[in-house]
Amino acid sequence: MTLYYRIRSLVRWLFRRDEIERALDADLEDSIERSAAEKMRAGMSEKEARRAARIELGGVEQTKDRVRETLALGPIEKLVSDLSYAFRTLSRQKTFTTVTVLTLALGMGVNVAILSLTEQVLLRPLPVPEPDRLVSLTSPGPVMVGMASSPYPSARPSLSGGPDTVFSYPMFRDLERAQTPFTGLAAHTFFQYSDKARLATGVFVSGSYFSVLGLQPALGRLLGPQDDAVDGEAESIVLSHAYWQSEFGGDPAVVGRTLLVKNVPLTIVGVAPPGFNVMAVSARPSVFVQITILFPDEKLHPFVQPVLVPNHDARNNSWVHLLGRLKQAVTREQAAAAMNPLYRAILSEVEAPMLAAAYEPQREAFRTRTLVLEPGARGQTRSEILSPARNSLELLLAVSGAVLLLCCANVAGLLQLRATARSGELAVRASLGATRMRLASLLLAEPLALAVPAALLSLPIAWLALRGARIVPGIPAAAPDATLSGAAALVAISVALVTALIVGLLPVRDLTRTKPGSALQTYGARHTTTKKVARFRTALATAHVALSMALLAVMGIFTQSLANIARLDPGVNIDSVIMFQVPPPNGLSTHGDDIPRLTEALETMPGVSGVTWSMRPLLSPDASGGRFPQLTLEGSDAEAVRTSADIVSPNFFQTFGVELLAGREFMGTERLEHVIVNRRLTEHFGLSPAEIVGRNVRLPAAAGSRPLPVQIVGVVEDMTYGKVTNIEPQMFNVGAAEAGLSYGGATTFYVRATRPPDDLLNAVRETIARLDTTMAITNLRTMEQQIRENIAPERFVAGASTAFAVLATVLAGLGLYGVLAYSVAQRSREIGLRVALGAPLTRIRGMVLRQVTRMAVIGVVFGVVAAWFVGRAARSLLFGVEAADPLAIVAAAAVVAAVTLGAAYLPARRASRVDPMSVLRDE
Amino acid sequence: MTRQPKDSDAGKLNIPQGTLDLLIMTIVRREPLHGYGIAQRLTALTRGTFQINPGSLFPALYALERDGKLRVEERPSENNRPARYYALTAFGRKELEQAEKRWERVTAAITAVLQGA
Repeated sequence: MTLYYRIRSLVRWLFRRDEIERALDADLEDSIERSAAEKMRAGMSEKEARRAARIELGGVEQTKDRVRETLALGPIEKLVSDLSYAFRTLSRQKTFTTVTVLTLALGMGVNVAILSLTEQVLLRPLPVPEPDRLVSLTSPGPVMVGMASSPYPSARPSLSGGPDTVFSYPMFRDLERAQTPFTGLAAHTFFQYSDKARLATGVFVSGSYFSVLGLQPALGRLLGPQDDAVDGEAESIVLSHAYWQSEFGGDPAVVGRTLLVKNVPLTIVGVAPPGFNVMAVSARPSVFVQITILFPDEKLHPFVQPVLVPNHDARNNSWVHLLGRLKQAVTREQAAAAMNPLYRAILSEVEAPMLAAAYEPQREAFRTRTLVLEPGARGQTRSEILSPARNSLELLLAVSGAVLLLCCANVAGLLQLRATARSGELAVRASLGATRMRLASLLLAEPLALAVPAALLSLPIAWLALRGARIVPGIPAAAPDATLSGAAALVAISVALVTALIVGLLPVRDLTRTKPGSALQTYGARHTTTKKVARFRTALATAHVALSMALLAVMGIFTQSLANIARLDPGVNIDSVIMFQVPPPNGLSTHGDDIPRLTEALETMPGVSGVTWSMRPLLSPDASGGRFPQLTLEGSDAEAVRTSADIVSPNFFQTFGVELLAGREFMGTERLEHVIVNRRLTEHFGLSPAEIVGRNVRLPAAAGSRPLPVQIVGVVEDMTYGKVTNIEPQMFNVGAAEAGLSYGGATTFYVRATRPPDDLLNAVRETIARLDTTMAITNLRTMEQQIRENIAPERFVAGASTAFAVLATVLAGLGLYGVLAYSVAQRSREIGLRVALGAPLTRIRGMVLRQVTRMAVIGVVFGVVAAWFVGRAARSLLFGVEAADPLAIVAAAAVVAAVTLGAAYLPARRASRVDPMSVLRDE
Repeated sequence: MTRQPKDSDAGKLNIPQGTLDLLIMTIVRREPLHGYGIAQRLTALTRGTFQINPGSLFPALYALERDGKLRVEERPSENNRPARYYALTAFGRKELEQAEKRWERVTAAITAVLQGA
């Protein structure tokens, strides 16, 4: 009751001071009036009476001050005095205090860092007005043949999700004209270009883009509807704020100047607002270009032709992302209901008839695709750059939550110990008349006094953890400039504070319930805890064991999975090979004639035994983006298969030691319609390598042109191209034959060395710089590095689970030791008596061991169940291991048994050394 | 912190520590009263033995209200200004009854000691 009023008054004093002030004014004014009225009745004049009344009151301001002091200091003073008492007691308990504060600070710090990252990578909305009204359009389902994101990842950066999220340009314009639920529909797509020998990112945007987002220019104007008029024409460009700052020093005179993008001169008309980084996290574009732009004709390799962008005519070239802003009071559901009839009409009337070759069921599925409106407040959340970060963060969130739980459980155990130790003091206080509230406040002050320094200490820990998070796969790409977030700190620390307070209250409940008399008696009987308290602590220690068992088992399966992956043969001989990428030089795409020039220069370097190249970087997990969606074999009933494709140098297989199974390898001069496929593709069509050679495959083709007749000339052994754990059907085409042909993207070169490859890295850089000063090279590294990075997520998961398993096991050991040591100390009288009565020492030790064995067995059982659930949830991360791996479980149980026995050893020894005489003498 | 005036005046005494709350609650038990009235009533009831200045009265009143023992009723005063009348709450009444019992035992004990000595 009193506490309620105290809190109410504190709140009122803190937040509604003026209410108190008004009441005070009214009270004092009233007093003066009444006093003066009385004096007037006694014969004074009104003026005199008022003056006398005022003097009698003795200083209005002093009275007010004293009221204010009383109201403010009451609750605060009590808290301060309780806290300072707690600090004093704690500073005497140095080990306890240090361990607890460090444990809590660690738990909080790790969580602050992880939550900061999560907030910035996964939760923070775009810096635009009313981001909640933005929706992004997707359309899952079968795609039109030829509708593909490029099979060559470097041709278009994979910043923005799979084929479900892209539409064709004609579809965009159709929808834009007919739509009603949006204030506007915008299209945008990333592209890359060479900017002064550096790879830069730009965005194609429709005229509606900036108005849909609701952005205002930092300088000049942004692109608008007037820039959208004619497909194929573009003259304006908008700079990103960061690019304007770094390249032009923030010069306002930049407006009106000309910028060359892929050899097209464009006039700078304005600068986008600061802090706006487009629709995908971590994308840092330099420029925004009109989506109507067309680049000068390039002579393209036929594989690349169908996916060339921008393309304003083809309905089977999907490349634009769509974004709408809902009109006021229109919901996403309503908008979807309004958009779908439009979309279906276009699909069935315009696009489905173009699918002449498709089976009827396929066409039907195509016609009935739906348009799904996803929340767009956070931009392109399906971005491929985000998903590794999302995976890592989800794991980290779960684990760091578990760490916080562990820390809190440990602190709970420690506090329980403290509370038991203080039970005598509290009993004395209670019998001297302290109310239950008073005792609670005394007990609560202690966890609070521990949590506050822990919270302060957690911030530097969080800062370190955030820096450390750069090793987490996906994080550097997704959050290159992540900072500690105030909101995250607030959440993590207040969760920990509340937990600490709740945990602090647990013993209060027990202690304040016991009658002072009985508590005093127990105090006299040398701290025997109540059964309930003992059970609570045993349960905590058992939970520790379970958690450590679970984490150890999880560590076991992840470590085994990592070992399995590390043992995998990628199918290519990567010893002493270094690789690097050459982005398209001179603003255009890589031309065929650049490749022989580079190859020749590299081959003549000392210590080089072979040079080869491909379009897709080998063993690069995030470059697995593009596939030909459907490849069919002529004269075969087998279903179409998603196939990855690459254009390679003729000596590619030979250089990497890939075995030829049938047919022939590429020759120095090769026809473009000849391809080599891998064993996996052959198996898909149920043929032997020898049988498939000479057959024709059907590929998607550019709009309007007939499918290419492509013939298989050879079959090679499977090799891993993207993720090492994944072998997919592949098709290779040779590219260097016709000079002047371009590929629309970067080329990856591989150099085999006869000396340690590390020595070659600089030599390669110098050679290329000598050859062409404008040529940029990226991702220069040994293939050893490449494969290490390829399995970085697995290494991270195994490493993180190991670290946390070790931490959990140490904490569990400490917790067990605490419980046992305490119970031995408590029972020393009983033990002394037993020894005096002739109990053998083995039985005394057995007593302790029985206690610990029970906790260990229960803990292991629960731990195995928990590990199984975690393992199942993480199945996608596992390779060649089951969620319930017997080896991992047995090994983890063995470790738990060892730790348990270790924790029991000292207390058991102490129990067997209890001197019966000294114990009995105390009686 | 609280500066206690000396018992210099022959007829006046300082209110014993801890009893001011008891006195205030007793006074407002009969009927709700404003601050000035409480001070007047206290002087009248003790025939001038106890006098209380506003600097002590109001902090005590506000603390009692904060602790839920008193509540405030706003009523228009004679010349139509809002005046704050303090009244005993149910909780205050219980507290007062206990305090009275305690007080009776204390005074009985002290009297017994004084008489026995």
